[in-house]
Amino acid sequence: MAHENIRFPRNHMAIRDEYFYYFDERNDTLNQKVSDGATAFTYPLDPPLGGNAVISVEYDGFNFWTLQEGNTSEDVVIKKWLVSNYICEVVDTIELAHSADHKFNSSSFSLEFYNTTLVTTVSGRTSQITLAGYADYVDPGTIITLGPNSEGVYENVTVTGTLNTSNSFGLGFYTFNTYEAGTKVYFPKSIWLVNNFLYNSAGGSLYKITLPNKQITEVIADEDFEYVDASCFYNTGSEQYILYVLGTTVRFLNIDSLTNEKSMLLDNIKNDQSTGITVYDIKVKGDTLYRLQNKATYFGTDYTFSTYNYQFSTIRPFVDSITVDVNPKILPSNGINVAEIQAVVRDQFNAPIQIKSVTFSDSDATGFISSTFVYTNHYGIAASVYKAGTIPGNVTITALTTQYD
Amino acid sequence: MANDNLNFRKPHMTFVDGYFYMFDDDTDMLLQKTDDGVTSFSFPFDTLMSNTVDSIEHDGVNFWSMEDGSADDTKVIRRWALDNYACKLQSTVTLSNPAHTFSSDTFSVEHYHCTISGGYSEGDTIITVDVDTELPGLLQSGMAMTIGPNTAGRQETINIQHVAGKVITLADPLEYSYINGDSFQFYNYLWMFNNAHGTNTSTGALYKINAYSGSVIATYPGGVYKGVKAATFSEITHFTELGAVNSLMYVKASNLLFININSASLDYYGSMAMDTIKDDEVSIITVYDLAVYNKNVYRLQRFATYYGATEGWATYNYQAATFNSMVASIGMVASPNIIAANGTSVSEIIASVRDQFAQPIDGRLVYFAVDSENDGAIVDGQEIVNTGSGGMSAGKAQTTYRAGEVAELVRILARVDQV
Repeated sequence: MAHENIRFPRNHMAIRDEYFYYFDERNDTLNQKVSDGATAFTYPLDPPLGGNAVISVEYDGFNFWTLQEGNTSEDVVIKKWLVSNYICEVVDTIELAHSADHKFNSSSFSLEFYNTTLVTTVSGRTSQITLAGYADYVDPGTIITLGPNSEGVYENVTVTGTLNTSNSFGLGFYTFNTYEAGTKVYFPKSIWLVNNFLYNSAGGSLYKITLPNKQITEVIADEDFEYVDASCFYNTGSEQYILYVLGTTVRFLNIDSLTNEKSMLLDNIKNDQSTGITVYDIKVKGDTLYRLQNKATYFGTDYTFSTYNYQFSTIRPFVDSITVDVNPKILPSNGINVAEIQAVVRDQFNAPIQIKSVTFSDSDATGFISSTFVYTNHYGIAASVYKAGTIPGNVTITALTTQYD
Repeated sequence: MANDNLNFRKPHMTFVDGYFYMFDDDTDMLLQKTDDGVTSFSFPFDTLMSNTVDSIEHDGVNFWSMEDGSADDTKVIRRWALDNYACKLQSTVTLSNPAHTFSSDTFSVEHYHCTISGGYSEGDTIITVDVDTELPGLLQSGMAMTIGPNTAGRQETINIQHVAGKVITLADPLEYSYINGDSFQFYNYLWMFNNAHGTNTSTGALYKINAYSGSVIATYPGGVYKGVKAATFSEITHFTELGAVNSLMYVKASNLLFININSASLDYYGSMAMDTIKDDEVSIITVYDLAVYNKNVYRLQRFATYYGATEGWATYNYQAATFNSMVASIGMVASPNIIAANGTSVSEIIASVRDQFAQPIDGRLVYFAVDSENDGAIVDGQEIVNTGSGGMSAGKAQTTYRAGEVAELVRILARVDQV
């Protein structure tokens, strides 16, 4: 079985519903592909990219966003695109040009965005809305997209301030259309740009650019960002992260605390167990992390592709490793002595997995394990006891666990 | 099997009543070919061609051609008619204006076909047209209409004096008699895809031009109009919710876009994906000209991809597409897409079936199967699912995969039959 799937000719991707997207500067199209690489549709770009390749792309539930190099290698341009009436049009442009204070060179950016719904119906010519979630992330000036309503209409509104309840907001102008309760609501909050410069000097950093005013409001200095090719925004509902790939791990940068709260191991290591495989883009959809790569390792065999294809990782905690330790490891074969057995079960975040069934077995015809079916404790440990047999020899203790979901 | 057909030597084409036509400036002939490339007839021009024609159209009565003008940044659009076994020049529009850089590869003619209401005799000057569209605005004083052929095969073209509702006053009396339902046709505007807006060549523009005077009525700037090589105009009926509409169509990248020329901002009725992508899955095959007949679209190309292999020719040949809704893509997603190989864990599979217009197709059976070397399988009873059933949104079908007991990469397949 060949392992290519979407066969992208460009090293960026966005995911919307069941489709994968990339921007093609040669044909000036937004290409929509299905998971086996067949082109489902294309949207002409207006204006054309003019041969300036897209470096990274994001999708916020409503708009596509692209990152391109600017006029020099120290400038970048971020464009906001809208697929409307079968055309993909630029609706906003953010130019980050080098200055005495800043230089910009980036391989990746993330868009912090929020999707929620209207709590109550908004009639046409209304100047307030009530949101079901993420009200804390709405500020005066935030531009919110409402829609589609039952007639398929969308509309942008600008928030002016909070009303009597914390999740109700006044608008700068009346709505033009009616939007029923439950209508989807989208708003981007910030751009998080991975920069190969730190201010105007060499060194990595992460720039936070707030929207819609396009102001740089945070610069996080960290040399690690100089080596980041892939990043994306990840919202668990209660916590928001910037995920970025560093080597063979994905780091979870909490955007409130600005600390790396988690790190997840990826299987982007070649069969030699030492060479990393470059991840060019990442996206989260549901509980799945999609990684865009032109190499992959499947069941011990390395594959190299002429195109870029996605590989999966799961973000939901999943049994990733189980290790067994026996103490003591040498027993007399007297049918009396015992050894403690401990199996440690961990997920891909290297965190212990609790209440996970572990089944122990041994290869000793005369010895035995006291409890062969044990659940892991708070520390991910399942413990049992092996009692020695009467025939000298090597004994193999096996612990088996699995994921049931 | 070789897949070339017309073997046209020039990059333009139009289609009339089952025949394909090409303006040959080498021999000064309008060539008429059958669909296997055999020349079935040729019509000598009464005016010799001076330039290679870029694009041609047929409005039901006249042929139209576009070529470079003698000066830089100018274009010439000519109207021709077949008369007494020759192709005779009827009128010429020269687009030349220092305020505009005319640089175009394609154009089309806005034209309408309807019928007359009631019978009319020789000498009559007032006729009523059976048409859904309001004629004022489309048909104006000074334009021309062609009526017929009548039962004797006669037709005539007469200038318009006045239009009121569906009632037309002719500038000259009818020469022949006509019965209810005889054809009534007219053209009014030229639509040119220009590679400049005014003199700004960094963008493109769609130009609306009076087909009689050549005056520029309006320009619609937009990058999407730049670099367009194929366009046509026709009544289309395949957008079922819209009914019959007259649309200007053009090819951009690998899509055919349908412009509503009656909307102020030139909205689109829709867009149709076409198989104009080479077997490298990236390069787009240039479409040089376009013709529409009934449910068929004819694209003029020098390359085509047949069943995964791209073929190229030294000549230009047509490729067919259809307006009939066909299954064009099946998008698939598994959630979760990593599950344990324990014989128990399951993953929900959703297939999204869409046609070439990117519209969901409902009520279509999706056949799910598993490409696996081991014992993972679609849950019993869920192998065949109707799109739009089980609470799924339009065009979507859902099934469930249950894991086997051997770790492996599993591929879920979905098949939908064309009907």
